[in-house]
Amino acid sequence: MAMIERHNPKERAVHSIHAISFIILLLTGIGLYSKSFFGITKIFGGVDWSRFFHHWAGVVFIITVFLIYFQWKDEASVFDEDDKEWFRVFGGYLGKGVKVPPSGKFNAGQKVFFKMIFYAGVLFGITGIIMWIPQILSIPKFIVQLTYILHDMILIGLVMGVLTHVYLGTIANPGTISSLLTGQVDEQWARHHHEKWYKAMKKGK
Amino acid sequence: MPKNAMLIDVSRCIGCRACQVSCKQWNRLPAVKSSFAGSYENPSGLSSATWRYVRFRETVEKGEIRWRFLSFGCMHCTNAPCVAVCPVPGALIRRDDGTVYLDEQKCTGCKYCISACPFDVPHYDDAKGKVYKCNLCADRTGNGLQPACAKTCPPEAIKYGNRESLIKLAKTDGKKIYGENDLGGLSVMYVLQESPSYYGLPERPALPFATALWKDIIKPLGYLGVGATVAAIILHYLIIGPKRYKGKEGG
Repeated sequence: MAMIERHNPKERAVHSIHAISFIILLLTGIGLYSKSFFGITKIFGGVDWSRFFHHWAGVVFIITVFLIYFQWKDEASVFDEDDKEWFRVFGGYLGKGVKVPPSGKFNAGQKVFFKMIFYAGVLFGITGIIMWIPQILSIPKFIVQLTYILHDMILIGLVMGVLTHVYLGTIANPGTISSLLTGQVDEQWARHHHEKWYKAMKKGK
Repeated sequence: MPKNAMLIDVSRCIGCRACQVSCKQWNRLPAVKSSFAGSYENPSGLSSATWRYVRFRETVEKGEIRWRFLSFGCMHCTNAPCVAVCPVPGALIRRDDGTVYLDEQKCTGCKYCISACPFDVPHYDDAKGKVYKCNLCADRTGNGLQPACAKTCPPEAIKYGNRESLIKLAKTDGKKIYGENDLGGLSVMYVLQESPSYYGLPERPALPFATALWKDIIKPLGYLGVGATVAAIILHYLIIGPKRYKGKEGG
């Protein structure tokens, strides 16, 4: 099985740190989402420690949001005609044997998720800092109330997005997960899922 | 409706601040250094170390100084917004006797209650990392004593006792009560001489709209959204299944 490098070690490290910080944030934050999840705070040694880890994992999360943005923006932030067609057929996910237009390094769905991660990350950071130290920043109460709403809405949207992202990156598309684990993917996989990128890589060699 | 309550008749208040001092003394709260800001009001508001203070309204009418006082602290709402938003089980609870009790040991200092309170009562202590407010002297009332402020008030402007009889007594005197039914009924009610807003009180105290939206709409929608996503993933896997690439040419 011929392999091709999809993500270099730096790209994978950034993605992994970002993902781990997200999981820590989810586990430390969910305990404060509702009283029924409060027991989850025990994982990190109680609610006070959970909040401590939540604040600092949040800082890591925001930094890695920007690192991800800068490492992939050239490939992930431009949409072409094939991407429009990709949306029209929903990436071929709504049926079997649907003809899907060729994608570059990232397909149109991944590009949308890329945008979502960036905007959600920035808004998470802004609302998070306001929630963390409203008394130091002297934020008006009405704004603080709104940040709680926003922080929760971003959370809900992002959890929905991440669940989908994990599903599509694992069992929904066999052969994909190795791009994160080893950085190498099967050439056949590359040609099937990211034809334009695959051809460009081959031409470059 | 809560069993007990405090009724503060501001027309009897002489602005002596004994309630303020006895609150500090009983709850062992340190004095707060303040500075003169053109009013006899001191300190100028509640803080994590000041759970009750007398609000001064000093105006000049026809060359005469007119004084209005409001002994102010936690209002102990029946449907307390702070209790509704507190994420820590047992940290902020509503007791049957009418007390909204904040347990210092359990509070994690998230400050949700601060944003939800329509009266701006809870205050965050930066050094301790926790929120503080009046507990209606729960350690006294639990032992059959009156709250320190009510006990000490020389003109008996602050009365503590059975809520129904306090309301009845005030009504037989023809007095209008603030907070009888707001937020399910406040356990600290006032008989005011002016409009509530004159004293810096909300005319109609209620759960803030943004807080209600947050707790009652956004959070339940979250369960719905995440649940729908998981359901969609499972359905997709079962009905359409994974995209296999092996043995296929092109996409």
